[in-house]
Parts: sequence; C-alpha cells; structure tokens
Amino acid sequence: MKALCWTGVDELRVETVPDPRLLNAHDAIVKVGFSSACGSDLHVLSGYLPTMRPGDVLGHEFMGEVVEVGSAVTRRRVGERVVVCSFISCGHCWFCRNQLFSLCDNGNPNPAVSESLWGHAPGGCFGYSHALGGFAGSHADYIRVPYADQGMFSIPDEVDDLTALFASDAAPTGWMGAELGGVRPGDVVAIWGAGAVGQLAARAAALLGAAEVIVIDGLPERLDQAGRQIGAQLLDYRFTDVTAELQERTGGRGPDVCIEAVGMVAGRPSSLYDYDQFKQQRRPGIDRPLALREAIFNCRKGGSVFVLGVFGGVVDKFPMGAIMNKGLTLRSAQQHGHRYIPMLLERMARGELQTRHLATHVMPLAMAPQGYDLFKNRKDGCVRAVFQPGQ
Amino acid sequence: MKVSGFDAGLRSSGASTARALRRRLFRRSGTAEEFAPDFDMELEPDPFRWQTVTILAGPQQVAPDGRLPAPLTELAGLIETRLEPAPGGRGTQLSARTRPGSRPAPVTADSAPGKDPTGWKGVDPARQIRIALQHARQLIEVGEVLAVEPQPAGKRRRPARGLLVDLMTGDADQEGVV
Ligand SMILES: NC(=O)c1ccc[n+]([C@@H]2O[C@H](COP(=O)([O-])OP(=O)(O)OC[C@H]3O[C@@H](n4cnc5c(N)ncnc54)[C@H](O)[C@@H]3O)[C@@H](O)[C@H]2O)c1
Ligand SMILES: [Zn+2]
Ligand SMILES: [Zn+2]
Repeated sequence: MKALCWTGVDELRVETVPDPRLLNAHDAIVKVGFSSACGSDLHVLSGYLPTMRPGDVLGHEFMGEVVEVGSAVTRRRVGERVVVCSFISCGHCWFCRNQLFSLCDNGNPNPAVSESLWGHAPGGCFGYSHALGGFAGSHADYIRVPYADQGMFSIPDEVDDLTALFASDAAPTGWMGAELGGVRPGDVVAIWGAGAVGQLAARAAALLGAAEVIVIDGLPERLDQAGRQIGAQLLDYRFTDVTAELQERTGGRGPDVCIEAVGMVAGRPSSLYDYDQFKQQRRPGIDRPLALREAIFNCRKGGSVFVLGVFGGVVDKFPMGAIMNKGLTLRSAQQHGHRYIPMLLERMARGELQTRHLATHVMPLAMAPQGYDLFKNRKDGCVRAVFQPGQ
Repeated sequence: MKVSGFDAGLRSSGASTARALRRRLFRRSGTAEEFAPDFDMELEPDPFRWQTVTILAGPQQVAPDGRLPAPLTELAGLIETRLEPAPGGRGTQLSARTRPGSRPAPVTADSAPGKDPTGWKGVDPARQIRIALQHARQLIEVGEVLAVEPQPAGKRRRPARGLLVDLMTGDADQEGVV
C-alpha cells in the first residue's frame, strides 16, 4: 500500500510499504477514509521531538471503514464506519479506569524511551514517534488499530466523514482543554491559537457556558473562521498589545481560564521570540513557550491555565513567580479522547459542533508532502491539510 | 549523595542508554547549566534494585496460588519477586530484582545476547526484568501483550547521528534515529 513516511528532518515522502496485519486478538484493520495533518505533526516533522526513525508512517487523526477484526473484538464489526481516537488505550488499567486514557499503562510498547525523557511513559499514539509507542500512522491506505473495541467509535448516520474526522483528535482535545481547564458558566475564556484545536476549544468553552470566549492568533484567515464559524471574539496579536487588550476586555481581572493551543513552535515577533527561536534552532529540546508565558501572565488571580499545545523537553524563562503569587492552577494533558468522543459525535449529529470548515485543503494521499508544505508554512489559508487515501 | 527523583526513576528503568538519551537531549538543549549538578552525581544503576509495577488486580489474580505470570517464570531462577497490596485500591505491586548470585557477567559493548553463562538472555538484566514486569501487567489487565512489529514502514535509512532510540527499542542492529 501507499503511506506517507517521515524520511528525515523536514522531509516527507509517499512510499510503498507493506500492508498492516492483525498482530493481537484485540486489533482491527481500518481502511482509511480521511486522515488529517495536525499541529502536533509539526513538532516531530522538524525533529523537535527527536524520537523519529526514518521510514515511520505519520498521521494520527483519522476515520474510515473497518475491514478486518481480531478474534477478541466484540463491539465493532467489519463494514462499520468509525472514527478512531489518536491515543491507544487498553480500557482496563488504573489510568483508563480513571478516564486518563492518554496515560494508559498498556498502550505504549516502548515505555523506556519516554520514561527516560519524562520520568514515566504516557500511552501510545498512532504515527507519533517512538516516545509514544512507535505505531505506524494513518496517512496510509490501511492502518492497524490495537484495542479496537476501546479506541474505535461508530459514526452516527447523520454525521458525514469530514465532520467525524475531527472527533479523532482536534475536537476531544479542545473539549478537554475547556472541561479540565474548569470552564464554568459566566467565565471569560481566552484561547491562544486559532488552529483546529484552538477553535474547537473555543466552541467547547461556549458550550460549557462561558460568557465570553476570546481567541488570539496572528493569522487572519484562521481568526476569521474562529469568528464566523465558532462565534468567538477575536484578538489579532499583530495589531494590538495582547496584555493591554485582555485587561481592557475583562474589567482588569484577566480571563478566568486561559487555554494554550499553540505548543512549542509558537511564533510572533518580539525580542523573546528571537531569543527562543535562536535557542530552539541551535539546540533541539528547548521549547518555545511564547504563548504559554503570555497565558500565565494574563490569567486572572486564582484562575486556571490549561496547556493543550505539545511540549517535548524543557522551557526557558518560565514565569513560575506568576503561577505562585497569583495562585494559578496549571494543567495539561495529551487528549483523553475516549472520554469525550461519543458525546462529541452526538453533538455533531445534533448540529451543535461544526468541524468541516477546518478541512480547508482536501487532497489525495499522493499529494501529502505538498499538503504538509501548505499546512506548515500557513500557505493559501490552510488550516488543515486532509488526505484521502482512496483517491 | 543527593539523588533527584528525576534520576532515581531512570535508575530503576535500568538502561544506561536511557540516561544517555536524556543527557543528550538536555545537554544539547543548552540546559546543561541547570541539569549539570544532577548529571555529575548520577550513580551507576544498582543492579539489585527492586523494580516494580502496579497491576489493577488482586494478588490472587496476579499470582494464582503463588504462580507468577509467564514473563516472570521465564526468569524464575534468576530473579526474586515480591507481591504487596497497592494503597488506595490500586491493585497489587509486583516487584522483581536480580537474585544475588545470579548476577550476569559484566556487560560490555560486545557482550553477545544469549551467551551469558548465568542464563540471562540479553545484555541488560535490569531491562529484561522491566520488560517482563510490564508484559506481566498487560497479560493480567488485558489478556495479551501489545505487539507493534511487524508493521508498515518505509525505507529505514540510517541517519547521520544517533542510535539511542534504537538501542532503547531493541532495534540497535537496524536503523537510526534523529
Ligand atoms: N494535547 C493534545 O492531545 C493535543 C492534540 C492535538 C494537538 N495538540 C497541540 O495543540 C496545538 C494546536 O494544534 P493545531 O493542530 O491547532 O495546530 P496549528 O499549528 O494548526 O495551530 C497553531 C496556531 O497557533 C498560532 N500561534 C502561533 N504562535 C502564537 C502566539 N504566540 N500567540 C497566539 N497564537 C499563536 C498559529 O498562528 C496557529 O494558528 C499544537 O501544539 C498541537 O501539537 C495537542
Ligand atoms: Zn494531533
Ligand atoms: Zn489502559
């Protein structure tokens, strides 16, 4: 079959690779319908998370059709249209029983890599480096899904393929940021990043009752989507002082909940940006926490900051004093999608949650390297490049 | 000598390659200043340190009538094991360590797998114990050990630098990592 492989720093190629097969009784094979590029891919693509091997198949946000199931799969059937959570969780360990699915003890067959980096290993993720299990990804004709009963969700008839695609990753990630960030009715919520994740965090905050949702970015076409499709207030950092503006808009309090949906490749001209970029380019392992610093600095006293953006190593100039003295709560996680996906699919079916607009560039898998170029370099208004292997 | 939690965790994972990977990442990241004191004090891993996993199951499920799960029985003569309840309803803590006296021949770069006269199969007993414990947990909690290979992959080229992840994932003979 064909698959998009990472071949080196900032190098991708569509190659012919062996088909996946069932390896465990709980596995299924899915024929991929749509598979999306994600902001997280940019971190591994550029070698910031230095645990990729040339030949690794990328992709972790996908939907498709079940074509084969292992003997222990009981809930899903061949022919079913499913969306699959990006994270691989067993459903039985203490972490899964406590709904911390991305931290599953049995989802990462190579825990030594991330134990050495982070003290303990998170669960596994499709197509996302050997720190997260080394599983082949979904930018391919077919993919093997371990723990299929646990990780595959049947798509309701009312929900079309492209809408359902984002129930794999962006929608549960955004929901988690708002929910675990503690958004309550009446809150003012600020979100850094108007990518798919930031937009869906904004929608989640609104659905959880936030009185005001402010989305911050510097890309006009993304802000435009956040305004029109999500109904958020907008803050374009190119034209205004983010801190002063947030102060003014929140009566001097600062947002109750700040959600960082940018990650370690944060951009934006400033002297700290130049400093961060200089360090990051010379030395992988240093993350660029520009938006994170800003979220912490601007959060109201006693408020909460949720970090959805991916970080891999250590951050520099981290404003610990603001966290301590303002009594902030800082939380973060890889998405616990299994907790939210059924609810999100229902909301999609009821028309409460729109995601199709995020798929700005849909193309055949053969064009995936060009798709990543559009996505990475923010060309042509690209919010997400989505690949369609069958085409 | 002070040992930070960060380093203590690594020691129990037993792999010096793990330390090397972390050292490389953080040294090259320019945070050596912050981490240097800990690096300099890093102890050699204690070969007789207990390694432990917590399994969400009662002791009778973990070791019915005292019979250990298969991945550990394979190491039976080489290790000591211990079972104790985990606090707060978290199940059972299963621990294992190299049996004093079964210490393998000193590991060198060219130690051949399977050639150790003491019966250890690999070059790193601590790592074998760790994997056996993790597999035992999977067998008890899920019923099978999650496999990852063979799976689809493109051409595996050896990159210019770095083999650390390969060493840690057991693929040292094949390909590299950037
Ligand atoms: N926690 C999880 O499980 C999880 C899941 C998916 C994605 N993520 C992470 O969430 C983040 C967002 O994902 P995405 O797919 O939307 O990524 P994306 O790259 O499409 O979007 C990031 C957005 O942040 C904006 N941005 C950059 N610097 C900024 C700054 N200083 N202030 C405000 N905005 C800034 C960019 O212009 C861009 O629109 C990424 O870091 C990704 O890795 C995490
Ligand atoms: Zn993602
Ligand atoms: Zn689990």
